[in-house]
Amino acid sequence: MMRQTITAPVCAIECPRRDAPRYADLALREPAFLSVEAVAKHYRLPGFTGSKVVKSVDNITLRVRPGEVMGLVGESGCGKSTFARIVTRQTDVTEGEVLIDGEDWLAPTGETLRRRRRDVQLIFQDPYAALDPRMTIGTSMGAPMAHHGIGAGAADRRARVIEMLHDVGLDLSFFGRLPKQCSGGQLQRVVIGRALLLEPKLLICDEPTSALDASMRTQILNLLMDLKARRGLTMVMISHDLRVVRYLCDRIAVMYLGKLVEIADRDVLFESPTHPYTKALIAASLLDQNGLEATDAMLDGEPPSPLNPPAGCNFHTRCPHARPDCAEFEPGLKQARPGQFVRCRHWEEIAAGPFAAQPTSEVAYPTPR
Amino acid sequence: MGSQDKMTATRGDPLLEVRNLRVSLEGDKAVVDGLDLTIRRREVVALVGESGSGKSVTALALSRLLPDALKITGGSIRFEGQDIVAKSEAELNRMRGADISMLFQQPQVMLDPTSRVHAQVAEPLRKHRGLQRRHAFARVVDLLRSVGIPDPAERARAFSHQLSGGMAQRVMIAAAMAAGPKLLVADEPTTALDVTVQAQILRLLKEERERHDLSILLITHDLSIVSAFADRVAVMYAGRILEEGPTAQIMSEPAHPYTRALVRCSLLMPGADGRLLSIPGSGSQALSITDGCRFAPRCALMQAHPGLHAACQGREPALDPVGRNWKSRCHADHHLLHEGNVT
Repeated sequence: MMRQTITAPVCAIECPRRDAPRYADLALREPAFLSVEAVAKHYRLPGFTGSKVVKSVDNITLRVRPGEVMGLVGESGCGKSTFARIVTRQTDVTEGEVLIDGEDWLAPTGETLRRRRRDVQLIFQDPYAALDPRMTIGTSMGAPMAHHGIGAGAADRRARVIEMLHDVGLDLSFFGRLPKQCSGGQLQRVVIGRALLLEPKLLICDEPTSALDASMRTQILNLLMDLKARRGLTMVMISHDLRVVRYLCDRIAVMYLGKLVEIADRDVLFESPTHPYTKALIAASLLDQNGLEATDAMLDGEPPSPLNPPAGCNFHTRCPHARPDCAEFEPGLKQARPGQFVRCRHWEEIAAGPFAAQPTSEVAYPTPR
Repeated sequence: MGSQDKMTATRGDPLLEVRNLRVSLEGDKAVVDGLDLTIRRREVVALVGESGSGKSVTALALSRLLPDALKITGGSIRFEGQDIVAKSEAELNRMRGADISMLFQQPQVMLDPTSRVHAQVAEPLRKHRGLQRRHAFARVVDLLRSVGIPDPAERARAFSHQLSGGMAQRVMIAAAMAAGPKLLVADEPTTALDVTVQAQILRLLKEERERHDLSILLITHDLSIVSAFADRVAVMYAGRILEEGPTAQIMSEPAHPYTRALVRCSLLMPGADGRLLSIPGSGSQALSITDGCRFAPRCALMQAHPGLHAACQGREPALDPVGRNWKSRCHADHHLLHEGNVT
């Protein structure tokens, strides 16, 4: 299928909300493959004293370039999996729009949607749960293709499955195996292969390696890296593990309580994290490099309940740099450096202070293309 | 942590000495096989390994809390000189919580959903210290405050479902510390928590260790928390310890090929070509290896040196000293051992 280059529709001036300039995270006319425009998902929770609204995803604008791997990180409950559900059309949005390759991805319904679901594939955390325990690997991998009418008959599909098994580093013997005869890492390869057989335009990975042991995890990450290089796949990588996104992603978006707090190119984010939450997240994730002391006084308490988010900047209750005005005004996403956007009113003062960025590692990571 | 701390910690006398411990499934299939482990007073020892290596079974064996299918079939566990393996159930109950406490991965699953927090934290106080309910409550509030729970008097009356994961783990720590144990066995205590909360819980455990001269056995698969937290590391593979030594050495210049691979895998350190190292094969069959090193089928060092094949596949290496307080179970010569660290 031909990918058309799209021109970004009109700019920030037309945006209805001041705090959410459209396409803040990309240069104005850069082509985007996935455009998530001011998307919000609110869940209504009925209760005894009246219903409450959870803003699981709140006014997120994110654009992913063709062939780019975008990382989405944050703690549990920050809305990153809701984001995945929106982009895979498992749930409707409350507001906003999603474009894939320039086309409105939220418009198709019914049969049209069913046929187009192959365009966006999702890889889950637990490969054991993603595969039918009574189906052989070959059947499991072939079934979605048959569902979407891919391939000329069963023999062709079988050939494609075998070729894909090889592509994801498994041999022919896996075709007839049952999931219980495979390891977690092998099954995650199967799940990735099954998704790729549908030739998706976009691959969403929701914590693809967190259920795996260290040695299996690196196999899967190497495989995803190969696929990225070989097929030019556009991916959104959702993870709570900053090491994983650091290895795999070109750009990283950090979420906190339903909002994006920072978006930056991978190296910029790790070398000069700017939002206080990003700093704390990096310090706590890379304990081996920074030691436990580096996290002292960085973050107290836990993420507040999304049912009752703090006013103003929703991070101010845990922020070591919070000032009185943080509780009053909600900051917008502002550009801090080229390729880096941050949602904090005081980032410049903070950057000059005692928590100023320190290099986090001497290890050379693969260069994003 | 300064090096001063580590020095005093290693100088402490042994609190727990595990010798040649063997834990078997029915049919005498050993899942922990010939395990030696020493924990000194005030020392934090990390037991690391991948799933199925036997680290959680070891944790349970230390308080004799193994499920029925698993039995201790050999060896000894000496705690302050007394053999736990030989103790009766009544003696064990006097010891559990009072001398050795445990902390588990999912705090919300471990807490009783039908009883309030204070009743659960008070249980060791009432059982081991004979406190009355009323006196115990005041003590519980103090304990909850000491583990950093805000509004402790109010939280004491909460049920477990009203607590977040981090708060529930703090409650579990308060309960584990209530009767003043000497050893805390923490089995993946932060795995189910968010990273920022994980750092808080680890800091809290470190404070408890300072405050109460506590020894901690930390069981984990996450090597990044190990280097920030533990004094010594023992690496487990297929029911055995393959390497044991001071944290700094194990993390920076591991002696055993498995440790080396595990460190690089866990910390996602890409090689010169930008690719991540992975350990080929899987460890699930390693328990059935009777001749030779259990890691041999997956060992890159052995494959690179054909001269080693006969030894590695012929007989199992012993856990021999390779440095001060540092042991490794490998046939390869010392100059080969560190070969992979340079590249």
